[in-house]
Amino acid sequence: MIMPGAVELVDIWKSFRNKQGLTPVLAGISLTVKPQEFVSLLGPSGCGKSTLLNIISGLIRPDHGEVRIHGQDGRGRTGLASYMPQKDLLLPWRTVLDNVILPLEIEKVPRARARAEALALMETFGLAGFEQAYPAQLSGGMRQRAALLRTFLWHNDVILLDEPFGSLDAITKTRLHKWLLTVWEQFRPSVLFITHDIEEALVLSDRICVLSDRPARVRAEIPVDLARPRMPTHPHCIALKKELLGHLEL
Amino acid sequence: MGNNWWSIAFTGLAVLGWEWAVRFWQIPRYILPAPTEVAAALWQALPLLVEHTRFTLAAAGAGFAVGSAAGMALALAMDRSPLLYRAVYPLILVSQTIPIIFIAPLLVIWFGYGLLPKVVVAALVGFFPVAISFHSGLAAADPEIMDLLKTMGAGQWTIMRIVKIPGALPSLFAGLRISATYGIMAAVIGEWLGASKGLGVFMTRASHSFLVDRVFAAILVVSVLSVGVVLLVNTVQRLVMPWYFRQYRAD
Ligand SMILES: Nc1ncnc2c1ncn2[C@@H]1O[C@H](COP(=O)(O)OP(=O)(O)OP(=O)(O)O)[C@@H](O)[C@H]1O
Ligand SMILES: [Mg+2]
Repeated sequence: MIMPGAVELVDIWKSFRNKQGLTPVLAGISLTVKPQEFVSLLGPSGCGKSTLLNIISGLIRPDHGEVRIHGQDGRGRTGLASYMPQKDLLLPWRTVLDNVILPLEIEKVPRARARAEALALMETFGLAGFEQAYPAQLSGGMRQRAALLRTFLWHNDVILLDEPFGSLDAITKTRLHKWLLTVWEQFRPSVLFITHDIEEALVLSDRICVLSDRPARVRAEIPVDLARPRMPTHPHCIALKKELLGHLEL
Repeated sequence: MGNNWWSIAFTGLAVLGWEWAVRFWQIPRYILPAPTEVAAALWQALPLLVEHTRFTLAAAGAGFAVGSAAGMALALAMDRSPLLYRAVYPLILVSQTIPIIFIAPLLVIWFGYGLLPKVVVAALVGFFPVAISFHSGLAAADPEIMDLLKTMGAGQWTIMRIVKIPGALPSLFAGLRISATYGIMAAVIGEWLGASKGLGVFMTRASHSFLVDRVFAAILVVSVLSVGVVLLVNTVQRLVMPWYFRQYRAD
């Protein structure tokens, strides 16, 4: 028997209508994320990566194609996957603690239990001591970690991350990569990770899907068979980087 | 804070100038009383003023409570129903252009000379700023945050409770501040047109008897009341949304 993928996309098409007419954004994307697999989507800015995640999360419907999450039809259906959007979208009027328990609160988990669960993870997510701080009092990196903790508390084993470290400096980014891998190895969710940073994709992923310019198609799928933790300076990484640059026509 | 000191100093100077001008030109008290004469009149009429103030405050307070509650309810309803919004919103804006002084006599005809017409005037006046500013606050909610909550499985009401209402509180309080001060003014106007108690009545009687110092004393009381209700709303706001003030202190 073939195990169903955690996320299966079959021939996804999507266009947006605007004043100029119809803009095709996704042109036949097919892609599978296996259970417990970490897959990165690498593509130029504006090619349609966020649009694809919005489709998987059920926020927008594809014009054509199939979306299956653990075998269930995911078209226009929210709640099957945890989604961390490109911006952290923390609520300014809630403390860090009350921000991260949001998905539990919406699932009607009693607040005391939700808070206890979040408090137990604050250390792991590097937020200890800031439970009662408001988002405006956090650094950019801490806000991203808070948004990540919120995503992990969702208890979905499918996690969609849209450039979670896109706005961070190289040092913070490298630290968060190490830390994300620790967390990922601990909980083992299936991850679809969007980035336009080649090294980030190489350090983190089991597999990298390269997308073309808009309208996006899958250019190449490249497995990264290398034990973690990885150094971007490893010869294999450098070879893969050359290959990826070739696919991105850079 | 620096700005406040400047305006206090300026006000002090203006009062001194007023005092000096009245004495220098020997302006009669029934035209323009000196600040010291106003203070004396205030002191002398204080028990009477307190009694009248109670009525004005009761009318303004009840009107404000009813008006702002109705304003909030309409804002929520308009946010939930675009149809209602399109039907009612232009009407609300147009009704704002009708001076309250034209409506008040009608209310006296309908509701008599008691407390009720004053409450109604204050409620009408307080209703609009709250309805309009709360609604615009609700409409300004970040669509991306609402989308995120949708992916978490939140329904419309949950989104309203978690995102829209808390996000609209700053605009709501801006509206409440306006409504509270308008409420006092509206109650006084209501009392001008017919009542037996209230600061408006006190003012009318004083001006009919050319007791201009008393008119000024009443004006002073009304101003103090208006500032007082604004401070009260500010205090409530600090209690309801501590994050708002903590956030800006941190910056
Ligand atoms: N709701 C929408 N209506 C119209 N056009 C849209 C909409 N959403 C996205 N687009 C267009 O689709 C294209 C792809 O957008 P998308 O946000 O998916 O890009 P992206 O790959 O995530 O870019 P980035 O890496 O900069 O985040 C853009 O040209 C954008 O203008
Ligand atoms: Mg994007």
